[in-house]
Amino acid sequence: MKLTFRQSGGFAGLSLGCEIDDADLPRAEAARLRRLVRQCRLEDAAAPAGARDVTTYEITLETPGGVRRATFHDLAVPDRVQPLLDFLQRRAGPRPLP
Amino acid sequence: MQHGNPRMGRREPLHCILPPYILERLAESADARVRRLAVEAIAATAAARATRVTLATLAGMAAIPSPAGHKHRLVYDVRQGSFADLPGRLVRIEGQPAVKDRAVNEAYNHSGHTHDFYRRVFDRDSLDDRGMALVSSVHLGRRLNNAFWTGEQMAYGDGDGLLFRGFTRALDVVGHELTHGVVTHTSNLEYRGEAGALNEHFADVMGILIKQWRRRQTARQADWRIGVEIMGPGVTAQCLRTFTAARAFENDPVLGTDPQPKHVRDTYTGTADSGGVHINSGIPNHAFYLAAVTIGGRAWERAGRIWYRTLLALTPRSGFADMAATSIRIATAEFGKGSREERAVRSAWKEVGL
Repeated sequence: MKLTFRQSGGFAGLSLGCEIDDADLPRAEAARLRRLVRQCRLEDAAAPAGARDVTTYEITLETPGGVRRATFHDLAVPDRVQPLLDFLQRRAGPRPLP
Repeated sequence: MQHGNPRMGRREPLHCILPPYILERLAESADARVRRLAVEAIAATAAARATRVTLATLAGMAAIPSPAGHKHRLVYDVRQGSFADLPGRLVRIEGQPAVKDRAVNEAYNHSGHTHDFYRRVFDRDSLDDRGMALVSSVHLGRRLNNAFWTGEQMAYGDGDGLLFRGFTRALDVVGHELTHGVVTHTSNLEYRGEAGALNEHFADVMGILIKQWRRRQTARQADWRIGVEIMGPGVTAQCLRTFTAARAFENDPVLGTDPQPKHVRDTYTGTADSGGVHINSGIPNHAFYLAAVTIGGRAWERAGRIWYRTLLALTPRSGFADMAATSIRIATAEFGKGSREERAVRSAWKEVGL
């Protein structure tokens, strides 16, 4: 299982991200990541039309079963996605702008 | 005499009549009055909801006169709740003394300074020029590294304490968010591509001018840096953006390198950040800095005046070329052809490639 995380926009306008393969993680951490992925349902969510300075998140999940990609915003992070987002943000660093 | 929220009882004919998709189209009209009415109509439902919450929370307030032209601040605590929980619990209203919560007082004070700036410098009566109440919510989300204009109010995260501190700390951040409200009620620049970068540009320009105005700094004395007070201990960056030719930060282990271009040849053309609205704003930001420093004195008095009038004259799909041409036209009209101001604005745009 491979996860690619990208964050852009927000007041700070930063381009951050990380790429994580559970095969590269210590066993306990890999198990935790798989649990967080199972718990959440990745869905696209648009920010309110008039909102400004919203941060955009993009998570791509690659498994043997296929690829799932979701784009959402920090004004609309579902409770079930927040723990996975926290996990990815703690591991995110600067990334070139796409 | 008006009571409570000055917006109440001033309903315009567009409100509640037209379907949302028509209103959205009208909000992009080239006619400033149609745009204003449409934007107000779109905001009306949400604003009415916020007003109802306010009045329910503070039953006596409906009877308190709030004459037009006076500041009317409402600060809420959303207590780590999400967007759906906005505005939260009302914790401080206009005229009440400071509370223990630092973020509440910062939101209150900084939105007050922003209101005073628009009133005294541009004779503008709040965000909509009609005495609109300034609604702020603090403690949005858990350790959220962001601040927003939601379309009807300000909302501030506390920061994670590592990358960022609380976003209410910086007057330029609060001025930036409130200016998004001013943009919505004036040119209503679209939030993508060059128009979006101009939207961000005006928010940064007014944010920095409010800070300079409070500090009584001339253009040469000012540091021209955005976000100094919100940077956390876990980053080497001293600010988020700079209007000068320099980079705000370089090779920061967490934030990387400031991506803002200062010349059109370096424009970001990708899709991230709604087409680089927080990135390409570096180009007009730098032009404003060049114009202000060349004109000299206090930046809000002449460069700021030209920019404010330009904001009023632009339309939702204006781009950088429109911005440059309009600001030169206004500088000429205000200060005369061949004036120091007109020449400074013209040469500033030329220097960034426009």
